[in-house]
Amino acid sequence: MLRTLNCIIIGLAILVSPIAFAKKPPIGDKAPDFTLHSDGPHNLRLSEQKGYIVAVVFWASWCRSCPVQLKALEQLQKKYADFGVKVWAITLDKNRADTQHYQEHKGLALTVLYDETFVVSERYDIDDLPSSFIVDRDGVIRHLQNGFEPTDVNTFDTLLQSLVSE
Amino acid sequence: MNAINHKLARLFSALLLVSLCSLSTAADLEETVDLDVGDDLEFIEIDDILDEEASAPAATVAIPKANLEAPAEEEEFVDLNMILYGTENPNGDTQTAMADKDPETMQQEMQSLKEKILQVNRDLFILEEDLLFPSSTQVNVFVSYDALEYFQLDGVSLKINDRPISNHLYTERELKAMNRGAVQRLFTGNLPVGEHELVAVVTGVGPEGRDYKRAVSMAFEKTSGTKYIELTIEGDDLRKQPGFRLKQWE
Repeated sequence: MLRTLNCIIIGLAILVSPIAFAKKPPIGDKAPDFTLHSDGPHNLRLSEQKGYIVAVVFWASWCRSCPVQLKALEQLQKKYADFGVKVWAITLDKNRADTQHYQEHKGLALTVLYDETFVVSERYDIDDLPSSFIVDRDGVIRHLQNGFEPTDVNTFDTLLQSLVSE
Repeated sequence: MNAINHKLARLFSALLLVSLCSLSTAADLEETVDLDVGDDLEFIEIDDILDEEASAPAATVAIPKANLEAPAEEEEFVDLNMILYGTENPNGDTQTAMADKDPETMQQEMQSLKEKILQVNRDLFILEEDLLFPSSTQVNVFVSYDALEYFQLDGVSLKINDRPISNHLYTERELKAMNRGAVQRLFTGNLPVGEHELVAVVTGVGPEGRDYKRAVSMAFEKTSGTKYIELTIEGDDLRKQPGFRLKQWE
């Protein structure tokens, strides 16, 4: 009886461990794929963006430090738009109306994706907002970052410049 | 055939070497003669010239000079084998063996190799499927879509026996492919023999741009063979509405 109980506990531990110890996908790995609803007419899938450099930022309308990064990324998108750079802003708002309200009032000019069920943010182990990662033309993660300081604009700019020239 | 080619190449290179040497010798000879003649040009008469021609052996003294300079010229000499085969030793080099082959033959070999790789890949895929999803328990659900006028497909959720098994969102690329007649395999899994129920929830944008959500269900019996079920989304021209149907394939 005790032996059976032990087996069950070990089995459960093995089954639960990948969830319990879920970590951010490391830099240099293929970015985990996802498909999300977007504010455009079609859904967007990360694996279909091969050949493009995709900068993804997780944000929410209630996040106070997010607008700084969103504005910075807007500028970078304008700068590198002709070089195949896309910026996706994945919102963690539960209601789309909140995101749409933010877009209308702040004039957000980025492609917005809705992660209402938090599937993607859990897969990428997002704890802080804003958080961001950059995927190169081959779908490999090249940069991961929690939080955003105004000086980080230069880091993003340099990184995008190097990725564009690759 | 290869041996003949090598011999011809060696013969040609030898001929080239000899012709280069003779040219250089002649040039040296001319130089020597010119110098010798040029010194006493005003005083030489025709007999003297004839004498000088007769004293050609003296001019041939320059030959050793030419021979002395030969090593320097040999450095400039490029082995024909290097040009033809990329190596001084055409024998026993795989690169040479490749170069020997006719480009068409090589292309054919490459093609056959590609076909073999594809075949191995296909066999591995089938083997993997057989191991993961044995035909006795295998269930496949496919989706076909032909209702672009009345319905823009957004996503499909599948449940078997009230258990979610698949949740798929369609991208523009997938929709284009399906509009061209592609059938998507949405789910492959295992089910025991017996009675089961499949529920498909389809979401999208219906007529007049309104959000559209429909569910279709079907009870089916899983037998010992592989089960194929198709979810068809078709436009109903009479009702001007999309139609959803689950169909079993035996």
